Amino acid sequence: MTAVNERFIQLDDVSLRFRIYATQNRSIKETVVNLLLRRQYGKPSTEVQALRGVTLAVGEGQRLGIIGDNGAGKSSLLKVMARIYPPTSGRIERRGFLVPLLEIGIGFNGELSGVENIYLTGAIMGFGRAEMKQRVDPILDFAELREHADTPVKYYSSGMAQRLAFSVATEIDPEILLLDEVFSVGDIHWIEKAKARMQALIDRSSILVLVSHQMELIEQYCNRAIWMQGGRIAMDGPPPEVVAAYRGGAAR
Amino acid sequence: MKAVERIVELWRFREVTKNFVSQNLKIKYRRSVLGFFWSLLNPLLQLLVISVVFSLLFHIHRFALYLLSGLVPWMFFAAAVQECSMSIIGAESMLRRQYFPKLVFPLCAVLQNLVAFVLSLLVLLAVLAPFIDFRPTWAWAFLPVSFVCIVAFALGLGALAAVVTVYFRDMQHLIAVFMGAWFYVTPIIYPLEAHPQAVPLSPRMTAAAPQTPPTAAAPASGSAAEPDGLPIPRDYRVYFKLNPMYWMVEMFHRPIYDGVVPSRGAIAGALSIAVGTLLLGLAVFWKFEDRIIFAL
Repeated sequence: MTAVNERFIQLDDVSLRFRIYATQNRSIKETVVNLLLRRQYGKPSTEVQALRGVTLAVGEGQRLGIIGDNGAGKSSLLKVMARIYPPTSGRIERRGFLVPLLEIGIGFNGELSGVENIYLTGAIMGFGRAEMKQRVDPILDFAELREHADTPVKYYSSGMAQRLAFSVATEIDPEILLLDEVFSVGDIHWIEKAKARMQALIDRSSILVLVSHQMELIEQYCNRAIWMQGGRIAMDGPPPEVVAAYRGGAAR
Repeated sequence: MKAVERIVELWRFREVTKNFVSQNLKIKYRRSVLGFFWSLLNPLLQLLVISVVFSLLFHIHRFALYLLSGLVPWMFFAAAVQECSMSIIGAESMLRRQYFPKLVFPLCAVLQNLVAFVLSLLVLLAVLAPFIDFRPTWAWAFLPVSFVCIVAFALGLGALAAVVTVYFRDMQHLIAVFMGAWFYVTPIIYPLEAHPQAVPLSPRMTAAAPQTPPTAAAPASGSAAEPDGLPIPRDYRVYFKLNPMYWMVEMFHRPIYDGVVPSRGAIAGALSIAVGTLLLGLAVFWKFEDRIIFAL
């Protein structure tokens, strides 16, 4: 998209707050009954403050690792960057073709064949049919699924589906890559192949943002790390220092 | 975001939309050509049953054609709105891992059904033409306007239904019940008014007009105004016109059944209802669009 310009993500005092309803799937029936009986909503909703005034600039060439305890706001931060969650307050700006790989493997349609799912996944990530056409063969080759290309995905084993999902997601060239927990599935031969491909994908992208609980990954892939605590950035610096501080803090 | 920005963004997602629509159609009509013909079976069967039963009651000239020209648009409308209402919650897993302008999903629901609608209307008319005494006329050139009206109306209502269903999950059942009732208050299986431009009504009915209607179709509490043999008394017809679907269906009755372009008043009415509903639906949808993800 903007190949010449510098890619960046910039968050300015971003806060994210949302409600979680104790009863998911509210219904009209329930609402009417509650109104008639003049009852307060049976189960109250709780408000979650996922991010509190996060200001962060990620620029060209940066590989940012996000660490922190569960519920500290790591995934929320990633989803705000990906536009999946709109911030409650604050501003976000970004430039560059951004691809979030958050939960790889969902979104396939079991009724459709492997090839048709490649096109569908491509479209979801913003590629037209023509653009995907030249990628179909490399994807099938890498996933080692050529002979099952026209089989509906519902007949795939879970390993095959994962291989296909991973291969499609990593065939594209994102400028900004958002990754949530690098996964590893399949036999040993596959893991080695997948790792090399992931490395190549990261090398191709201008900006990487990686959320992980595996400190080795953060230290291996990233050149900057932030430690999230209670929706705020508690520490920002070189990965070894931040990881050491987090380990020390977590041990306390 | 302003409405213009939202529309520009939607345009950027046209490939996604196209892909969703074609894949969903592929799944629906999987078994090649036969798949589509199976989907003609439902309207065909309804046509057969209703026209046999109701032609005993009304004796309307070319009743099967009248029925078809209203029933097929109705079936599109009902299916489109019901699919719209499920479209956002059905896309939950996708919405959790990728940003979309959410309108893509109700839009796909409408477009998918539109394809089936156009095809089944054409095929049914072509195949049944000799049996239902149907000939295309120049008034057919008007049909694109009819499609625009009913598509805009369905999308407006569908967008509304999609948002409401996110917050009230039992809405889908209510919509199904509501659609069932709505069908009967819309002049589809009965005519609201005589269709003067059409080939004259059957002799039996014209003859019946001055006297008491011989069929049981006319309610006993007929109005003081001279009855014309149609099931709905004159005094009540104005209330039937409060139903927006009356206006949409008229856009199909006139060109297909009567072979004439609808009156200017009818076109203006249908267009303003359709555009008004679409604008209202989009306004509500866009107001909630950003918040929807937290309610899924």
